[in-house]
Amino acid sequence: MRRRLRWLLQAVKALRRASIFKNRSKRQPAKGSPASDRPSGPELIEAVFEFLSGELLPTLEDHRMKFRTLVAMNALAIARRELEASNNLLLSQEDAAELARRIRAGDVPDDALPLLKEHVAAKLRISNPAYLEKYE
Amino acid sequence: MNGAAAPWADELEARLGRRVTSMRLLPGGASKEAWAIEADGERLLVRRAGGGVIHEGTLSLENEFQVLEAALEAGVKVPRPVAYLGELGGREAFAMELVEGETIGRRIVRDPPPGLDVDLAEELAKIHSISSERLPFLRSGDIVERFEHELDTVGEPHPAIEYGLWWLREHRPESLPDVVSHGDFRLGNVAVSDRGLAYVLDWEFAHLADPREDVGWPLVRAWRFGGDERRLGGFARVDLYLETYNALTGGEISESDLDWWEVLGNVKWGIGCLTQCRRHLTGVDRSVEYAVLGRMAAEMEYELLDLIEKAA
Repeated sequence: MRRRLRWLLQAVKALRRASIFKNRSKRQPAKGSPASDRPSGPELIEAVFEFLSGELLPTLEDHRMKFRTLVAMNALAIARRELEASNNLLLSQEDAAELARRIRAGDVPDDALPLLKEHVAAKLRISNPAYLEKYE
Repeated sequence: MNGAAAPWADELEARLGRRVTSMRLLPGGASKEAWAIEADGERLLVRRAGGGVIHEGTLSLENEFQVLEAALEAGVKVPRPVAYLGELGGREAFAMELVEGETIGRRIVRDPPPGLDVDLAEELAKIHSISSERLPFLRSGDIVERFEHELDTVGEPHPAIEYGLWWLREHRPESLPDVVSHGDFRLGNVAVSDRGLAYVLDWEFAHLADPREDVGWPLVRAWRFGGDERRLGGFARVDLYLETYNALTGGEISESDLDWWEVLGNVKWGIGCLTQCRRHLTGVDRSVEYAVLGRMAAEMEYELLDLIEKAA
């Protein structure tokens, strides 16, 4: 487990150097994705996002509905980033579960903190990339 | 009657002993309804249980009403509790004064009224002076254990939160005697006017706890509403807030004492996001707002790891 964690940490550092998270072209389908007709999944999400922001949102007067529409747009943006960046997560569900179990038992790997920071940063690049900038 | 009368409007009039001339359901929560009503010319707010399952650890409306009464007696600025109404249309409810004021965190942070830090400290000191004797229903207990239990109900591995819980256990400070705690004391749950803090709202999470739990909660980054550089609620430094609180309570809490509680606050809200998201996922309250909270938890995870790294 410990060797595996160290390997994962090194792997993610290499990935960051290669900047695959930042430089992936927005419209390029992920390698090996099935050849569906266009629009692709991310393009469909983008179309709904544009409808909400460009057509629906300007017609809303109720503060609460405006807020909920913005939340919905945020949800779509997360889904789109996730589809566009496949295999982005550092720890698999299994690895995460094993690490969680070990920490709960008090058996905390020496490099747990930097590893977890990378793991959570990878999640944030999908859910809220702007949030990470607060820490730069 | 103006607005949409609820089927239980007659019951409401009978319990209040007043004529209700208008009622309007305010937009918002699924677990609690809020009705703005006018009764014999007075504007009131009726809080009534909603259809969904109540959050774990929240007070019944009857108990929340009793806490509100105790807070008013202790001089806390709260909307005046008017009457516990029993069940209206099969769900319990109470009436209180309908108050005005700014509650949106982002707006308060952009233009905070002068002295809001001192106001917060003064209200918190009064809250912590409430006698717990007449509020025997308030729960207490080991907060770290409770968080472990809540995280276990999520059914998804979160090693970063586990790391936070481990760190909290390893660095646990000596505890202070429990006080009556608000449980969610922060911007967003207070109404503010241009003269300062007007009302402390949202008492459903009241419980007994170490006073530093409440004191540290508004420092959590999520409650700074974009004012990241200002540790207290995104609008002020902590020193005057803490000095005022200590002077009023005889406490000796230092700013660095609050580091542990700030990590705890991030663990608490991270788990809160995950459990609220489960309301959507399990179908208790389907809502896009609850849904995205599941992805927001990572923000608190990163913050707690960053705080722990800095504390080392």
